[in-house]
Amino acid sequence: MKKALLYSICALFALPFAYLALLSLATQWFYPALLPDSLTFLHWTGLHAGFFSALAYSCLFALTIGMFSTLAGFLSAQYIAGHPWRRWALVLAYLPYAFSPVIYAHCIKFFFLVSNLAGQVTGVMLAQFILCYPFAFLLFFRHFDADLRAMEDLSATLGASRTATFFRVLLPVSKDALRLCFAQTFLISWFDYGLSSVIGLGQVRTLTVLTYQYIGEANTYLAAVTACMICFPPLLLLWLNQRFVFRSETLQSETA
Amino acid sequence: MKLLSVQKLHKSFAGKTILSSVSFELEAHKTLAVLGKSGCGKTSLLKMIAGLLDGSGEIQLNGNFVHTLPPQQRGIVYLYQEALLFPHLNVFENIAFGLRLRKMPEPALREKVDGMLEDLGLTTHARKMPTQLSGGQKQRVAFGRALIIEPRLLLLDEPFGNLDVETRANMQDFFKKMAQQQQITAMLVTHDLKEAVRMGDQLGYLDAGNLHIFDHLRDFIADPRTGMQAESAFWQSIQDAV
Amino acid sequence: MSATAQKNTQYRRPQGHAALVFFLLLGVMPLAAGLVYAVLYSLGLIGYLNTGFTLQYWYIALTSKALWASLTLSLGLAVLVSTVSFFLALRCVIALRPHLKQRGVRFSLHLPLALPPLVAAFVSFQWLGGTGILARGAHALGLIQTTDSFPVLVNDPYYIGVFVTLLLLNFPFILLLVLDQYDRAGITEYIHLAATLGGNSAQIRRKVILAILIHRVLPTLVLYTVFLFGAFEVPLLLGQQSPAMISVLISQKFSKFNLADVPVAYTCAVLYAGVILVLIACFWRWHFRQSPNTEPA
Repeated sequence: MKKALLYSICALFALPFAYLALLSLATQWFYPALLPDSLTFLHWTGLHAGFFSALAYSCLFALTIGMFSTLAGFLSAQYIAGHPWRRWALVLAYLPYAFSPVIYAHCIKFFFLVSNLAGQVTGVMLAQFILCYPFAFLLFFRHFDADLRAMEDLSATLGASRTATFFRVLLPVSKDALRLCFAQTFLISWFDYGLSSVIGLGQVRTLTVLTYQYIGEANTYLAAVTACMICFPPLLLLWLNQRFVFRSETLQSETA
Repeated sequence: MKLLSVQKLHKSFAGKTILSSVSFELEAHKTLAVLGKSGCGKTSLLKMIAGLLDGSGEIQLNGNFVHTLPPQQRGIVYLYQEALLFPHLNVFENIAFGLRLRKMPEPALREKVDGMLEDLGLTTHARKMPTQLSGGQKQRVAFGRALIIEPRLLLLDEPFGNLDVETRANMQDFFKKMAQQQQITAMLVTHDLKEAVRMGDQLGYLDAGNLHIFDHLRDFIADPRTGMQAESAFWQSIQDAV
Repeated sequence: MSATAQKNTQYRRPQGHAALVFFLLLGVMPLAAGLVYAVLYSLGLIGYLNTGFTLQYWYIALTSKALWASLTLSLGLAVLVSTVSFFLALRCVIALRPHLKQRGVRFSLHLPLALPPLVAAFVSFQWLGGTGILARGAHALGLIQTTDSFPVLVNDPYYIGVFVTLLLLNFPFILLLVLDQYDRAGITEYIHLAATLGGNSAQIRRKVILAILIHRVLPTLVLYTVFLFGAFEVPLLLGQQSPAMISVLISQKFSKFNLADVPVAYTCAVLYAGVILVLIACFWRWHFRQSPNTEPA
């Protein structure tokens, strides 16, 4: 009974992905048919330029935002974690992090309009950075705990310059946190719809914006294709991350 | 010959005085053990000497002012209660860390690290990662990592506080042996009375930011704040009862 | 004391200040500037229709039934989803804890991480809608004959579709959180202790497991409630036009062609920010009451 419940929960979480894959391959899947008449790659092979440009934008934004917000979060958290005003910085960081991205976007849209950034690739990029950076900061703020700061101090008393401590201690020790932050900020950007649609003024179409457009047009099969494309990188990241997590868990239990 | 001279070291934070005009001197190749309760300013004192905490006052090492120098240039190593081994480096590389910073040629480095590993009794553990070591072994590596760069002064902040009683005693013996063998000048802060007496050539007591250095062990024993009399009386009463 | 004596080393400060300025500029200032702009707009001091200081937009917003309905709905739904997620997670952890640590199961629990809200809403629409998979299943089983006989589960007045989807997205996170905190808190030892003190299973569940876990997860639950309060994509696709959840309502007001709605939209945004500030303040208060010297997880 317990196992049945457990597997039902697991199946429930896996079902949306299986369904999206099936829907993206389906044709003429009308009510009340439980399964599609036939499966075809037609929707995948017939994708138009708009899809590829959306894919390119999404990739560009997610990779750039992932990289820059991780870097900015890491560097600023490293110093602010030892600053006397650290707690205030932490309190303030929670505000943009907790704010609804779409309302945030409406509030700052004016500044993007007057600086001619609204509807521009750079504008959407900056807006996403503003959204992701506090998140990265919060993540690294927790990472730079008393132990890591003590390790940094120890390295200094052993004679390491700031640069040496950064490259020989902080970066290698923070490898996992950096990877995690990149993955998370990549996903925030990759999943974003509200901010991109408001600041992009509908002119910068990412995969999520395109998916919403397909849903609005009742173009179910193409919406499924773009939805599959949105889900693929996070699934891949999840799989890689699980492999890594389980490998380190095993290593720790072996050495404990 | 005096190695360390500290004059009027003062530190306050948020209106509260942490260290109040602390002055003392330490002879070369000696260990000063400072006893003090939690929150008395022990860690702040060591961190200021190491250059990890700002404040006012003068610090001289071998007659040279060092209080304006960054920690990297003081030649003072500060060791924490935790071993803080770099988790991405194995035992050999942890010990070699300071030498690599100084760009020592590889053959000389290997020879020196191998020698240190032998002194530490860790030769067979050279390739192990920190997670594969026991608490005592980690602490030994931490000592090795500090000693190999031949610091002018070693600061120890309750270095054996996290170890069990037996390992702690072993580590104290080990430190005494190494201190003698390598002519180390060290300053140790602890809240453990026995540890202070056992390890210190010179004894001090820190209370509410004021440091008192004792000229002789008998003065230390005579001062009721150190708890030495109460401790002796307790054991005496046990012995009398038996 | 010599001049140099006063100038003791400052090990971290200079870089710390620069980092703080950078953080304030890019992390905090955009939101602060946006909010100041919203406040000024809501008071009629700036904007296309500005006629000088006025409280009329605040009056319109504060007397708007749609806004209060929206705030109540958003907050109520957010609290409901968080609460149900927590109790479901607690139940699952108590009943299935050893199984939840299996590799495959843990992987499954992480799967909703890969599901963006927009896609989750799309899938829910496809499943719960009148011609969706559930309706087809009901038809195949002979439970319904026409699509009209199937209960309305999307764009419905009770927000069932939104609730189910937000629960699907939220529950795994809370389950992982409860599972993690269960182990960290060493609940098993407390259970053994309570049992030796004579507690029965119901008492242990209520007075030990629930009592310990609720304190440990409450700050994070408040944070999740804040996120859910501002949920956008799911209610946009699965909710109703009126009452709409707050993010959707504000978005609707901004998107209307009637320029007179814009100052009211900004007023609503300021009110939303006020609620967020109160919730975040609660989060900090609870966190620091429990562990005053640590930062939240």
